[in-house]
Amino acid sequence: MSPESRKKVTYETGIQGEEIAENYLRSLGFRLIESRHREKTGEIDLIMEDGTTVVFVEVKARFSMQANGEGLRAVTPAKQRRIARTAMLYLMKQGWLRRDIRFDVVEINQHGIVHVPNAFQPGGIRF
Amino acid sequence: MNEMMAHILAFGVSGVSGFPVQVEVFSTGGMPGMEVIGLPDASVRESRERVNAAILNSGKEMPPRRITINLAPADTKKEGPGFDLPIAVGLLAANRQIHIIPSIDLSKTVFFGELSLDGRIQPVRGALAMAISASEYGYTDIILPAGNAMEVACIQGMNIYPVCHLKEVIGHLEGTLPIRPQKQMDYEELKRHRTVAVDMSQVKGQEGARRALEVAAAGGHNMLMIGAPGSGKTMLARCLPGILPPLSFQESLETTRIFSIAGKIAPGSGLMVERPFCAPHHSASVASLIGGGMNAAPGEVSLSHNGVLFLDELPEFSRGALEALRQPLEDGVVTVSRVRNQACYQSSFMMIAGMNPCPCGYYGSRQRECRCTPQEIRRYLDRVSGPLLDRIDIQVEVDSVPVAEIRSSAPAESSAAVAARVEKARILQMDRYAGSGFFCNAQLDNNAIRKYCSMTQEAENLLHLAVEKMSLSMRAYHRVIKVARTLADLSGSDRIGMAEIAEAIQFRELDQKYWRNGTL
Repeated sequence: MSPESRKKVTYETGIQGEEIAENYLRSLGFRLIESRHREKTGEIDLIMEDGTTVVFVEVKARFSMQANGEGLRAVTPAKQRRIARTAMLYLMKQGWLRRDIRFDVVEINQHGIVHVPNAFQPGGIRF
Repeated sequence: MNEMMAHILAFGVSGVSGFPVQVEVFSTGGMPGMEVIGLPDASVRESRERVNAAILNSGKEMPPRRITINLAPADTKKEGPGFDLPIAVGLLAANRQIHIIPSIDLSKTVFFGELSLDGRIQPVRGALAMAISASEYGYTDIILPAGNAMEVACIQGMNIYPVCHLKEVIGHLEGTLPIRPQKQMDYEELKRHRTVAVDMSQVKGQEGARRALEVAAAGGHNMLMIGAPGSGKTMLARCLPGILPPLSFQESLETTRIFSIAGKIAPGSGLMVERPFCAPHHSASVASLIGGGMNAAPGEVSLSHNGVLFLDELPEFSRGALEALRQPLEDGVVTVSRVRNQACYQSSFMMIAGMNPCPCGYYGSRQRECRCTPQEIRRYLDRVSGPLLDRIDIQVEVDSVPVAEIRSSAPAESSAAVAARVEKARILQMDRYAGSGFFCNAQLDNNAIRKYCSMTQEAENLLHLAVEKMSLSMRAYHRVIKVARTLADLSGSDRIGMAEIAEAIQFRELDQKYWRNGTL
């Protein structure tokens, strides 16, 4: 497979995963605000609302034969910081700096869906 | 609606006293995370992980919120895991995870304790010091680890709630499962269980040394025993705890407080009844004797406060270590200064020292010929400096006991009999010095000597004659009077007479024999 087509497959896996995750979270009563939100610091897969709490969701889709939890571990501290910074910019633009927020990770693999609410607390992220 | 706050009272330890620490927990929306500020050390900063796990294991939640924990005053260093419990309670209150019933006044309730990940509460160091300080600051309730409960059981006028698990604390604060305050324990109750390690009846012969030991015990005087190897110096010293009266309540509070800070109290045990007996090896460093380390921890002199510091083989101690003893011997306190910390510890101890008269050990012995040269003996004795010797009230020669005497079946007087006389003399002293801050004759300062040690005219004349003849220093002069006071207390007389002065002077004669005159 050429590098270009591999990129494309990865992207499609991502889109597919996000759809599955979105539907799953909707079924839990979450409300979608925006998907694939882009800032200069990166992208957030899903921004949803759980009650009054703004939830930033990182989706990890792994359809190949990989062990459970592989996707969760892929959200490294560096990745967490990038997501947090992006979320911060988003919140600033919305004027939501004092709302309750949360970071969830959803992993989708061949066995099903693993949802980790409050997966990480990035703490003092400042600009 | 979104910002929430909680204030919880905690205590930190500095030296032998505790200081109040206000744990402020601020919970707000925004980027989730937890920050601890207010000069926490590593163990305090790590507490957020313990607290997090303990809260989840107590059936409560940690909502994803932005949390700032401030330990005020912000300019004092906070050490140790004792802040876990107040931080946990603060977090629960700030996040509205618990609803504290109004009958609990958080501004008067002190919390301390270390948390395990599973929510159990572990004992901490310095509980007694913190509890005493808390009561001095006027706080009325303490919630503390059950492992520390015995230690503080004798404190009056406070409600003490011992707890084993965070769940119990939650139940108590929410009023669903109130804990009953611990029953206050009577110190006299504790005193009833005493055991004697080495009994005086095992010491054969040695009449002079036995008498000296009794006088030392009765007045809390320092004592030096000089004698050949194996003559029983160590054994005599070990008899001392058995003839000393138990600690009085006030003394016990002081001593236990120091042990509590050093973390030397066995979990579950209460106030100390037995006087401490510290016998550091002669390789001891200055810092281990006086106190020191990064956080200015108490040393052997403070751990033997109100007890006995036994220095066997006195000349083998390093010069620095011996000279460092001079100040605590004189003042009864040491100030340990380090760059970051300074602490003042009480160190009013009886110094009991044992030594050989020369390198081979047999100089002056009836038993064997000494094979040291005069120079060698001189050098050996000179390791004990004049100023240190000056501070030793009672000096006694201990020679080996002849075999015939050892084999004689006549039992020597037991510790119990000696202890009874010692206690009688001590009670006299306690009554005389009630309210003045002294506990025994050895602690008297010059003013107090003038006030409490009246003597007959003949006694005074004898003393002045002796001072001239023996060229005693002013300090030695005062110390002779203090020993004479003890001798008078032992014989139950009010004024010091000639006999007492004569015996007290006699206790100083070795000083002359070994260190001053020219027979060598």
